[in-house]
Amino acid sequence: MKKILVVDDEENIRFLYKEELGDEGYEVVLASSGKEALELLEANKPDLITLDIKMPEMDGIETLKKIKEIDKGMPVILCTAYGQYKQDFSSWASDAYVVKSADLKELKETISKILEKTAM
Amino acid sequence: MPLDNKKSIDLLCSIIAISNSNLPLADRLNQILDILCGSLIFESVALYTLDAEKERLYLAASRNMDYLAEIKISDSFAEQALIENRHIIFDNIAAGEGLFKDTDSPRPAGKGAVFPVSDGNFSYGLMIANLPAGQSLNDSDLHIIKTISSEVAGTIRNVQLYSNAKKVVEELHLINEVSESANSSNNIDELLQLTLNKLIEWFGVRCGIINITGDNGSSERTIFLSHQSELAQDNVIQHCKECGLDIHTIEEAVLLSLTGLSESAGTCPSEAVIAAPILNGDKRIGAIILFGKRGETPFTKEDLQLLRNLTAQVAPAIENTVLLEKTKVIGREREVMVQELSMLFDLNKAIMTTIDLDRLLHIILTAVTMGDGFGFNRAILFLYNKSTGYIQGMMGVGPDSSEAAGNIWHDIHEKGKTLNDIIEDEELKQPQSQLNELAKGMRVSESEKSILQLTVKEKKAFNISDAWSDPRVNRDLLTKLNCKAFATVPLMASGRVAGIILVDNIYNNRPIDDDDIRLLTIFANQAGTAIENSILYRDIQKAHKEVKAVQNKLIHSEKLAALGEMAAGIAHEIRNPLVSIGGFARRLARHTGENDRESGYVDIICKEVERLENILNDILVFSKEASVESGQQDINSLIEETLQFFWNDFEKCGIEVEQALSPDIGYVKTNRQQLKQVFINLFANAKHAMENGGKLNVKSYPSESEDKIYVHVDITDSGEGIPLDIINNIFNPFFTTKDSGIGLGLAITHKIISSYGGEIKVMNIKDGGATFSIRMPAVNQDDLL
Ligand SMILES: Nc1ncnc2c1ncn2[C@@H]1O[C@H](COP(=O)(O)OP(=O)(O)OP(=O)(O)O)[C@@H](O)[C@H]1O
Ligand SMILES: [Mg+2]
Repeated sequence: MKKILVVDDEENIRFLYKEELGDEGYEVVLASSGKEALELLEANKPDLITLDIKMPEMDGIETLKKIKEIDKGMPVILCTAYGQYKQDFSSWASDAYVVKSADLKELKETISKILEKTAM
Repeated sequence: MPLDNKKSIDLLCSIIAISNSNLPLADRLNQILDILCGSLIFESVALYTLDAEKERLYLAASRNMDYLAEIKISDSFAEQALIENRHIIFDNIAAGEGLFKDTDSPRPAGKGAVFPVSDGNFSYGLMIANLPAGQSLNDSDLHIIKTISSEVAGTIRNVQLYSNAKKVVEELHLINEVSESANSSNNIDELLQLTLNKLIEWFGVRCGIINITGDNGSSERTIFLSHQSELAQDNVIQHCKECGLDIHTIEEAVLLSLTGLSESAGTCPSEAVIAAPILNGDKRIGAIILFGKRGETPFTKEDLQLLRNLTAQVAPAIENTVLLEKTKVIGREREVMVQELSMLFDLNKAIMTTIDLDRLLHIILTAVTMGDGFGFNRAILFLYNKSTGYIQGMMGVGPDSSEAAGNIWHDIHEKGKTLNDIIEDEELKQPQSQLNELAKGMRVSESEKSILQLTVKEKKAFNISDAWSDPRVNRDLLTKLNCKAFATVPLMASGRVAGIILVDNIYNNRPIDDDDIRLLTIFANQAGTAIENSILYRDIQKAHKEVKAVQNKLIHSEKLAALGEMAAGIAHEIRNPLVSIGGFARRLARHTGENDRESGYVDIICKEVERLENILNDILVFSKEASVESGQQDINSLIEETLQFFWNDFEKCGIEVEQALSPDIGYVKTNRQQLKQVFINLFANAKHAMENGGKLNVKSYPSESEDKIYVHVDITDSGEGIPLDIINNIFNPFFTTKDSGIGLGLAITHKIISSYGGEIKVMNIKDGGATFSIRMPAVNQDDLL
């Protein structure tokens, strides 16, 4: 069973992702901040991380950098409420970029695509 | 035959009667001689009168014998008789050589006698006679003859006195007349003509020349009058000169008989010449020569003296007239100059204060075509574009036909419109005429062989008097202009050609002269500067408009940016709850049965959330551009802020930081976050390069090249430096030598810097370590305003 770490400061979103991705058959681990995510990364190595960009304290981009410093190969999907970061070069380091939507279809497809790739 | 008393008294009486008669002198003398012969005192008799010079004796009358016409006073008997004032008796008249004409007629025989004709004080001549054969003169005869001769002397004296007095009166009259006419005329030529005419008449000559030497300001003049039509002034002057009488150098009055003159007949009328300088005081102002005295009487010393007097009389008048003429000429020149200057001044003022280009061009062309301006019939103004090399017709002013020309000129004349009126006309814009349309359609490229390009190249005016046969003029231009003469003048502005004015006189055919060109050139220099100013002003205005537009756009986009930022903020705040609402609604929808009432409700929620999300996307797409908004960044404060961030790390590694930030560097225009990222990446690399301590040097400074101002930041570490085999790769994405590195730091840095028009370079330094140098364009100071 693939393990997905969901990093988002909004509790309802975390809950939604947990339910939806759980339904898809993933083990879902939740983190409410970048800091928590890094801690979990050491102890509970996931197969993929979804990362919200706009978070207090350490934002998604910074967290992404730190994650890549710890585990260069870790697949990361950046999730954001709007398209600004698509332009930003820092997001190159992420494996995918998904605009948040109530329809989780795009996110789910992206996850499975990346996991298929890493499995090979 | 001795005379008795009665006869003697009768004789004397009749002679006195004749002497006192009103008859002309010659008649009186003839009658007296008749009486002398008739009374049988003399067989033949002759009367000689002494000339004014007292050098010769001329035959005045004779009876019964051919006496010589002239006797020299130096003949011994004449000298004796005259000087000693006594009579001489020859025993044989035939011995009186030199008394009679050498003819075949028999010489008289008998005694001869010579009597001085004298009044006791003065001798007037001689009476020479021969006595009837065998006769001699007794004392009473001699006494009577002496009385008669003194009577004759008296007659001659009276006549001479009378004619002298008459002559003096006439001379005075002449002098008066000459000086009167001299003073009455203000025209030097007329004056000279009048004077010469009078002199020719007075002296009875055929030909005369007056020459007035010119000096600075007045030109030399020569007046030549001749009654002999075949004589030409230049020939006569030349001939006199060859004979030693140069009219230009005559210093003294002379009475000459020039030899050889008659040989070149047709050149000079006569040998008799009288000449005198015209002297005003001591100053020689000219000379006069008179030729060809009519009649047999030669010029006399009196004539010479009279000529002297006359020239002295007219000299001041001539000099005054010359002076007057000179001042008139100067005055006229001044007047013209003042007119020209004041016109140029008015025009200059008008064109220098006119900024609207169309108006300015119209004023210039109006000035060129108005009668009180330069008065050309038509004028076309071209502008020269230095960068493209094109000469473009801008405006043409002038009537379209000679008919229209007549009307316009008449109109201007009627209304008394002046150049100034037109200059002050506020409505002056592009003229409505065919010529203007024609002018605006004219365009000459640099490669075309044209008089217009020639004018630009040579920077000088061209006066084309015969356009159709002038090889410099191209046909194309000519067919358009359709004139046979025109001129082009370059419009100069600070040494460069700004354009050309082309002028012609197609309707009145007045030739364009050097003065026209000179004045037009002066004007064209001023006009060129005015045009350049006007064009500059127009360009500035255009630039100003553009700046205004950009500024408006800026204000607009700033507003948009603010709106976008707000929208983005709101979107983020709204999207998360929407994701939750919609997400759970979808979950609900999946768990409710198709036919449940609730499933309809949930569908509504899902659809509405989708609608809201779409709206959000639209807003975000709209504000996307604004979301990476740049601003003016103070690079020093950004560096300090970023260094702050690394403070702990540097301390831990034992890295010493040295800053040299110039306060004079300006701002750079970037997104602050992105620029901060640049420094974060560079400081992070520096930290990695100096894990075991070292020195970090951060330096900022301005520079200027090619009128642009730049901001520099040099970041130097004291690490190992960059191995040469990888130095070309370090800016590539994902290139890294570090286990923990992604290799994006420098790639991102490079991309950010170059996206703002900057540069980043790397250099290893000698003692180890690397320097990363950034150069970014500084914000233009003008943009800050
Ligand atoms: N100051 C420096 N001194 C020596 N080598 C340097 C320095 N800066 C960069 N490098 C070399 O250039 C490489 C690329 O640097 P870059 O910053 O792009 O990636 P990185 O530092 O390796 O990873 P990251 O993406 O975390 O920055 C580095 O791995 C390093 O080998
Ligand atoms: Mg780096």
